[in-house]
Amino acid sequence: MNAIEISGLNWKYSGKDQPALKDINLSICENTFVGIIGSNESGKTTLVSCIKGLIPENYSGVYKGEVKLFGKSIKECSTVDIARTVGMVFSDPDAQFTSMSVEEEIAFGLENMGLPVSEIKERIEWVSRLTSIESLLEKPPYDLSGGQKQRIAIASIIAMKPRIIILDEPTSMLDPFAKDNIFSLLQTMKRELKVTIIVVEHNIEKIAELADQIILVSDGRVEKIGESQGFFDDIEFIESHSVKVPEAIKFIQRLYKEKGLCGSAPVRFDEIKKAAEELLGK
Amino acid sequence: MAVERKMQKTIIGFVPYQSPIYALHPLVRLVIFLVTGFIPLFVEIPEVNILFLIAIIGLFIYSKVDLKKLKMYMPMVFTVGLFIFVTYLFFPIAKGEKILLYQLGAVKLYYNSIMWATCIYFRIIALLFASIFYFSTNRERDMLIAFRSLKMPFVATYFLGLSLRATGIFMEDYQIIREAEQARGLDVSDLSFVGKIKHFSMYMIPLFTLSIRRCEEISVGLYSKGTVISNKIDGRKRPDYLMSKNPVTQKDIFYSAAIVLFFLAFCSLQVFGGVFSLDNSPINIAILKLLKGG
Amino acid sequence: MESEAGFLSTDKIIEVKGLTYCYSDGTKALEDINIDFYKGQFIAFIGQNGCGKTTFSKCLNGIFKPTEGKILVNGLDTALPRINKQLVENIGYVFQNPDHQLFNNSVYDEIAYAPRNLKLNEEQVRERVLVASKISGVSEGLFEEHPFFLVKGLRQRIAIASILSLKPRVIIVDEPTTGQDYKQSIEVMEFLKMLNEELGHTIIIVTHEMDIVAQYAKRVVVMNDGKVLTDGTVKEVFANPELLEQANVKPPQITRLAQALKSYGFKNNVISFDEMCEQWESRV
Repeated sequence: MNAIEISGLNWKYSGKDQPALKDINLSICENTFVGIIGSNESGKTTLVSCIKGLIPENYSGVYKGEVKLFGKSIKECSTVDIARTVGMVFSDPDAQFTSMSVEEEIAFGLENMGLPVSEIKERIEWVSRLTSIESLLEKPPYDLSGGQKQRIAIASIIAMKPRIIILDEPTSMLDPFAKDNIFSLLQTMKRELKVTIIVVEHNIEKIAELADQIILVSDGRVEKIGESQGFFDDIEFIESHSVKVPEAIKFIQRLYKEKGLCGSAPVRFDEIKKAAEELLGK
Repeated sequence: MAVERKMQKTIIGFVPYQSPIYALHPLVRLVIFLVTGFIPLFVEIPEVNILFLIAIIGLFIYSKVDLKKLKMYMPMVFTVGLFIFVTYLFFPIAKGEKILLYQLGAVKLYYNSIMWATCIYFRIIALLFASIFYFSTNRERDMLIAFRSLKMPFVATYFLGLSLRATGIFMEDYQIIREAEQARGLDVSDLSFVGKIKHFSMYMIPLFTLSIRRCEEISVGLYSKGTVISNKIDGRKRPDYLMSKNPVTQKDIFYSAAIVLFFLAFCSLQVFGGVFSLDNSPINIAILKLLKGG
Repeated sequence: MESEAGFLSTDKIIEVKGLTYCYSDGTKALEDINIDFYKGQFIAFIGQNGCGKTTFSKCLNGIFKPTEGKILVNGLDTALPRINKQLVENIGYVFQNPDHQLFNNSVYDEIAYAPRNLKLNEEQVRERVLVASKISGVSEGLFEEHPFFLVKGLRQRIAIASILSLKPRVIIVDEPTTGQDYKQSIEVMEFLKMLNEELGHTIIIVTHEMDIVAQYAKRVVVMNDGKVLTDGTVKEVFANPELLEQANVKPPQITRLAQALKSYGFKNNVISFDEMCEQWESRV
């Protein structure tokens, strides 16, 4: 089943001359891990805001086309329905943390769903184990690092058990160690949860590692959509949209070409290494 | 760095990580605060307030509050003192019989003023330490639990919590802005007092810029979590996880009631019997005897 | 460690001797740091958050005063009282978020703010503003605009211009590429490179982006737990992944690939795609 179906979507923020999204058509299967890449201001965030229903609900502008979640148009869904179907994590860890302790932060979303206290308790236990934040539950926000806050923001969304989780540049404000931590959490989510995950990210290396499917957005259009292996075959095309192809991928493609191999070169680091060893061994 | 710290930072100050006082429910702690905060208002005798102060310091030690952290309040203790004594020096009150001690031109130094200033001063200091004690043993969430235990509506406590959180972010930003300004050649020590105030108003621009940008993010974030700011959800009472973890037991109610009763008894001693009026102060009586006798 | 690219000149611009810094709550943030920086270097501070790199850079700038030890910037002791005015002409600090440092009502006042603090006359101030805004690509047409309403990239350039108007010899930039895409990162870094190579400013960047470090920095200082873990040229530092791991830092992907393929004749200090290809070709 398709988790998301977008057809003929156009969106222009009021007061802007140019539309932010132009004629978007795409469908995303249930339980896939999707990476959305593209330069700043290309429309990535606007696109996920449409999936989340923040557009047209919270912004004014001109909206054309349709977004369907699990076959149901978002126009027919109530805001509460959407909130429960689609969870969203933003990039600023501070702005997402509105309670005075981690536990309350996770409980808050669940209270809003009207769940009984016993269920809230169970979910907090489950999610804190899944995201390894058991030791943080009592802490106030100013005792946490940015990476920890982001981990909690993700946990509080997972606890609500949405069928789609969107993460909008979840690591852009974190240091590399914290970034790696968040990416390994995403790996865990991919493995453990039956959920569609959409990540907007600048870190192409990590997207190549994790995503089943990648979407390249540029100037309000979907320029390319496809599986991660083979996505970067046309380096020039990708880089012409201000997205840098990771150098290890470039290198293995170069090896493939020189050796006259057909088919797409791998994009995940371990596979690149293995392929390079085989090619160099010959 | 891995240095073991005993005190944990809060927005207002520091609280100990471990303390025997945490065994008490936040509601009981709030009641203690209210009572200890009001007692000095009913006591005029400075000696009693000093005893009260010593008792509070005892509580600090019992609660394992790091007394070194209290140093930051010392300037306040001195300023308050200075302010009160100067006020009473220049605007002497006319209560009871005036006893002139010293005269310098138009400034007349009366014994009553000094005694009354001392009395007010120790009242305020006692009150101040009672509040410092509360904020040194209660985290923000404890305050929220206490307010909710008092059946304050969810919406009110929610906004209180949100504003506490906002204050924290605001103060972090303020710190960075000051550093940024220093990096551009401003020497705060060069500025006059008025200059400093003027400068503070300049900070308002970036502080509000940041707040406005954050506000949008926070509201979108809350919206996307399906936040319902109401006491009812789907027609039923809103679940309250925090309170379910910290329920008010009969023991807590008993403690609170006992403390309140003690307070009422204490107050009535003053209100009906005037037990703690300045006239009953042994030191006051002794000095007056000396002055009149001599 | 006195090797080629990292140490172009022998003129010391910053000397750090036995620097220890403690926060007001007594936590030790930096411990016994001894390091010199030379004129014209392009330096990157790396390490995970909380390792002390930001604190260290704020010490250099005199925002934080050493608890123990001494920092001399162009011979000036940062701990002296009322040194700030002289110090800022030698060392400037650009904060990560432009919103933290823009507090004037117009772009012109913003850039003029620092030179006015130096008590220059209005004519000199104007000259400085014109030069600084020209270098950083802020057009004169924007002078009357309110910084609040401009886009983020432009606000960042104004933030840099407002430091450049001090003509500092050393410029510290905190996370210049955070939140920027590939093209914008290159733009900012090329601009810093120009300041370094053409105008002779010593540049210190505090960053997390190893690709950027590999491409632009000449000297890398890795910090961990309040101490300098290692210090050297980009190649020297990235060639030692075990040491970097202590600081939770990973070399760029291409370097890691070369290191993984070591047994096939790749060197462990490859830092770019071109170099990787070169080594492969020389193998064939």
